[in-house]
Amino acid sequence: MYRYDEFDHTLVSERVSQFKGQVARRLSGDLTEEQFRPLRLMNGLYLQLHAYMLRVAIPYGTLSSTQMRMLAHIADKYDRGYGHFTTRQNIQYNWPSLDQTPNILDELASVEMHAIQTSGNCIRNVTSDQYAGVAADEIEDPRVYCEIIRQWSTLHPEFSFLPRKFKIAVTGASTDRAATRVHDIGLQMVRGSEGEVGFKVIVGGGLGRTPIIGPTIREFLPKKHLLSYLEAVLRVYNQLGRRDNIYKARIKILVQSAGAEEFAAQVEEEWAHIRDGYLQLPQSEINRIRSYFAPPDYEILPAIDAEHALKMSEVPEFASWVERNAVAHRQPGYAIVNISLKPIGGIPGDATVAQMEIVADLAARYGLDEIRVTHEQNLVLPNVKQAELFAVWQKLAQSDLATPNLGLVSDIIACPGLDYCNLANARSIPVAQNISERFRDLERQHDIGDLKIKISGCINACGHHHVGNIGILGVDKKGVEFYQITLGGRADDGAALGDIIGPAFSYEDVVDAVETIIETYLAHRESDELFNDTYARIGPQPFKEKLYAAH
Amino acid sequence: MTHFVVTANRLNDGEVLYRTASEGWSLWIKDSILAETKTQAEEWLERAEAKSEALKIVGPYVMKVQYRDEKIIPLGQREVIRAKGPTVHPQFQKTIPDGSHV
Repeated sequence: MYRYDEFDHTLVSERVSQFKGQVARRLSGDLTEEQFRPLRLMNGLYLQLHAYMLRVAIPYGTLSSTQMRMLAHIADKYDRGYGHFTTRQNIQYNWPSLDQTPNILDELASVEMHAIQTSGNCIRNVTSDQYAGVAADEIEDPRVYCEIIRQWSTLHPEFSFLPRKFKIAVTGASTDRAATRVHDIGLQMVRGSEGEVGFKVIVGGGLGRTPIIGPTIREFLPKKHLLSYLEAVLRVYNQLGRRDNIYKARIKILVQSAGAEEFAAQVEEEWAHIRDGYLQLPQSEINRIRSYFAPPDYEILPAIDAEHALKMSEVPEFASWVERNAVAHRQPGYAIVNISLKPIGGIPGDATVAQMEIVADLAARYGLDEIRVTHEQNLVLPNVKQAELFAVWQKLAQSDLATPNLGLVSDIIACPGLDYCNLANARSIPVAQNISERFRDLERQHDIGDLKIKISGCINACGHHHVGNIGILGVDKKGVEFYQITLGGRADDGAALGDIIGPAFSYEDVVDAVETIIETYLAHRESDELFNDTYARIGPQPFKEKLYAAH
Repeated sequence: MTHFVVTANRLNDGEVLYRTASEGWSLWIKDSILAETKTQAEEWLERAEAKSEALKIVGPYVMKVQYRDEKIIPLGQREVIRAKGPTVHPQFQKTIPDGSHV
């Protein structure tokens, strides 16, 4: 893992002292709310419906057990005993008080964490593949480049007041688990014509009010030019992006209005001025950062552990969990363990203090001290020996963390929605809970198979509804919650936006509607066809007929 | 009948507050002072926006309520949730000091 150097330590601790002073001035009346608001937002502190919300950055979703213990400690000491892991691989606390927030940031700084770049019109915390460094299909560990981008972008003077927020995702694998096509910039590691490694650059994707699958503006970017090219993209955006209309301020609008080709040409023109300058990445610097992400000292183990195989045959619940929640590791004898934060009827992404501590303990004891947060609101232990999977499963099961539902109907992404969020129009979490309860029979979920449901409580789409196989968007109709459903979206390498299926459903009817959609899929499914394949083959009509038959 | 009240969040912890007849703030919507017109509520809002109030509250605004059977009922799901607390954590629902739910 990356460890702070003296500059990082100084920057974070100075920011904490600065914010301490700003909070004191707000509480004493020396700062008005208007003056204070941008300052608190720069430190990840929002005001929500019932309380402040603090969003803490988890750079590229990677945590140590010490950091996870600190997150638990903060939930216990300053909040209400839980935290909420988000679709940006961050954690949010829903109940901190203003006067205590500097103390929280102080404690976070002690474990090399902070809340910088989690809000405001800057380059936000960079996200990545949760299996980075351990995925079998990976070209290179993307976290090396995430960290390089973080160092370049943190408090970048030119890009601290962009037209709008700016999100970058990086993946090093052929399977896109980082939703790169729906980010302002998506970077996919690829091999060039001579086998050298570089990036495919996707610009202008995004969800929200105007969902767009980002176009590729450069098929291959050599690694040494990563920062100069990003700087060129950001410069074009900073100069030409709209600042007169918040709904048209994201880079996707600029790319669409100029056209991807023209936008790419403008970037290339800007890049020509800076590509061979100080931003060129020396191999020695890449190597220096890479050393922080060097693979741990794996043991040489057989590909299949005999004791593990025996347990798999003896304990069906364990076998079911391994088959669904454990993933092949690049190192023989090891596995990647997904920890579901979606127990049946639970709140997607929430973890209690006790659960966070258990995960930290497991990471320390069995997981080579690493934890990942996924953009699908689950956790991962990326380095677990096969031989120790049974022990890990038993501990997780005791804490309601072993639901074998990864990628199934109840593994739902949901934003906080109207239960917490000031921007939301409708609740998301209880809709997710009700769907999960409706499909509580895990055998039924396994029969249905992989199916991604994503729920947002407003058009800002924090729940990624546009790219759910079944997407649910909460809308407000004269103070009453309704839910619009989209079908056929996906966020992976074949990224696509869902189609609106018809008029919205009431809160009371939306779970029935989801069940009707799934039953219609099952009735038309051919062999082991996935939901989106069936939908592509039969189209929306059969779903509409079932959904709106009574209308 | 539709009435109006002034609401805000408490500065230090963000708790939802309602303007009272004594120009103070209460955690409970039942204690709100009711305006029959929006104009009247906006006058109260102006006073709630005074500099001295900024030490106590943040983001005051006028909201619509219904007054029925001697109860003040917030209009719209957003205000219902603000008045009562998040629906997904029953343990964090607001309770009145006598133990009853809002």
